[in-house]
Amino acid sequence: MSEILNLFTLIIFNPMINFLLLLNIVLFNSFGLAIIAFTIIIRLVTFPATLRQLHSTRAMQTIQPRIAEINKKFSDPKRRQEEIMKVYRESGVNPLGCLGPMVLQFPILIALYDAVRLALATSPEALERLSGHLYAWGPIQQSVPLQDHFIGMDLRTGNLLMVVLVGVTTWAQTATTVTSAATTDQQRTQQQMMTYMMPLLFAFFALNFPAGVSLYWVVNSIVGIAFNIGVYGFPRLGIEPIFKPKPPKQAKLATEAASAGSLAAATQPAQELRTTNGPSRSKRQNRRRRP
Amino acid sequence: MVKIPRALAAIPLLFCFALLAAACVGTENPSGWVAPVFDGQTVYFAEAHDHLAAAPAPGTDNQTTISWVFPAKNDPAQKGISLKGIYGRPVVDGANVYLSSYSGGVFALTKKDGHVVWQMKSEISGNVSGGVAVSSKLLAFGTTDGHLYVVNKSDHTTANNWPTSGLTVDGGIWAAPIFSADGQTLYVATMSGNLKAYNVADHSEAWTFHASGAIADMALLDSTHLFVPSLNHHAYVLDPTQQGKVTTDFAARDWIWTTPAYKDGIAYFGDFSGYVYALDLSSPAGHLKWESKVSTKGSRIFSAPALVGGLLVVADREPAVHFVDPATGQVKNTVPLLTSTVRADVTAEGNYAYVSTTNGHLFRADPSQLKVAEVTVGGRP
Repeated sequence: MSEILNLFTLIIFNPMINFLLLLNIVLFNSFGLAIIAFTIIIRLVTFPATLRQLHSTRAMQTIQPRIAEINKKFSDPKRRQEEIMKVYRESGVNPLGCLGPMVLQFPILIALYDAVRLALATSPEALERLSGHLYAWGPIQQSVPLQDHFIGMDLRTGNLLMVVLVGVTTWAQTATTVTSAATTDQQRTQQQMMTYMMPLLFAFFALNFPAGVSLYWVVNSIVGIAFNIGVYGFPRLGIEPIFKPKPPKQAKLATEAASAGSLAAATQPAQELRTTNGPSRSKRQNRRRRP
Repeated sequence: MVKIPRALAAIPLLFCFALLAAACVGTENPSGWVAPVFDGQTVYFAEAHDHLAAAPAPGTDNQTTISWVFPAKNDPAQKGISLKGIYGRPVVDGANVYLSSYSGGVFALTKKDGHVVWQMKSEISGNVSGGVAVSSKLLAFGTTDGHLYVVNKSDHTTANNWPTSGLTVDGGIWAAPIFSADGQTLYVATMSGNLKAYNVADHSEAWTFHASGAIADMALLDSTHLFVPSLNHHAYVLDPTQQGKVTTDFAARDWIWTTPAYKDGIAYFGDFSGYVYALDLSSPAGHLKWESKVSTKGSRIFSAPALVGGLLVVADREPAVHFVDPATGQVKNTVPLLTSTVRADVTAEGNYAYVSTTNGHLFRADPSQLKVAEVTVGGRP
């Protein structure tokens, strides 16, 4: 485990923290500006992965009504799974497609967050810890401790305005992510809860964040909102998506359908396949009807 | 039920908890480090990172019992006082002990029982991560947000001609200020890399020295040697009698965040790479007498060493105590402490050196035996 952490530190964390300090030097020793630039740059670098994730999420949401229909119609788990996989194939959706990029970005986002937090060096002990992550390059070494004020705000301590901004931007990001594709009441409730609980949760965390970390979070959310609008559009304001997903390749789909082959049923309407339990009835429902 | 959307919903929560976990794992809260201070038969040391204790100096049996602890849990007058961390050495002067704390303010305590004579907290802007300096009448300290306070030590009223709300300087003050021997000049270092000499009479600036890195500590070795370590890997020695003229500029391997042990014109100090250096300040440019990788593991040396019984006692962050020959830099013995870590300066007293760990343990190093033993402290609250 410690080897993994060391590798993470060496490959991701240390370069990030030194890059952050370099930005601080370039941007007139303003650590606030450095945080903003750093967050935007890292999010842009990871944009291809984010784009894949957002497209996959969107595609998943688009097919939700069909999946809900299959869930209603089929009671046999194996058969249901087959039908769902068929829908995935037809739509060109990989059910894990949104997880992969997310997992890829995860360590980067963690490192980004921790780099900002550590660079703030809110205590003498933290400054000492920072020393172990700096490259032996004069300007970097001489840049610490960083200027801790940005537009009248002490970046090392909590700031109520930043707490509010964390809440608002997290809400906006969640609101632009969650679409109305929920098909059941339960899903709708879950989505609504996410929309309101996430901002509250993060605002609560932000109460204990130094303002510099909150600033990172706000910028991160704003970039996230921009990405969401770019991919999903914003129908209320008539904004069309800029990054539209590529349509699934028909040839590939055909091949996959053929390989799914034996499932000749793939070409038949789902309803016709339901013969064993009677239309729209599960085994359990049938059992209940029996005396 | 469709499983995937649920999994998706869980991801932000997972991320959220991961952030929280990262925060918990990596947080470096102020915990302080304070070297033990001896005053006659009494030792003052950090019983915990946010409590100062007074006890009789350990005898030959290496035992002592705490006389008082500040802040005292059972004293209603001290209820609600939270120091968070003590970084500067307490200064014993007359009947009082003057103490600075990270977030609890600055205190004058009675030596006898640790009662509060006065406290400054609401008047202070920022935290105090350095110690206090005391002259015959005045007390000075700086704060992390760059305010320098000079007050009368008898009642903490602002000294004549000094601003009540503190003098604003160009950067955070992490090092304890220093009064010159005659009390007429006050030296103040900032994390912006400036060292300023102020005339105490009217707070006018006498001279300024600029290092390219932050200055987190400093020491006045004698009237002509002001030792100024910097995070830019350099140790500067200035001559205060010549308007702060740099007499030595020594480049070490890593950050220097410690003051030296000083004897016969030789300054001994360590850096964050685990090296200890001996600089001959009596030579024109501060000739390097020797350098030695005392910490073979490369542990940071954060605390000032001490010269006792003909040996240099060095503590590193491992934590380990090293007995070093001051003539050659050869390590005679290394004793691991197997607890917490050491950031506080090593204190020489009598034939021993005392080392305080960040978790409130006190160790006594015996150079004649090349051994280290923990002081048995009784009466801990």
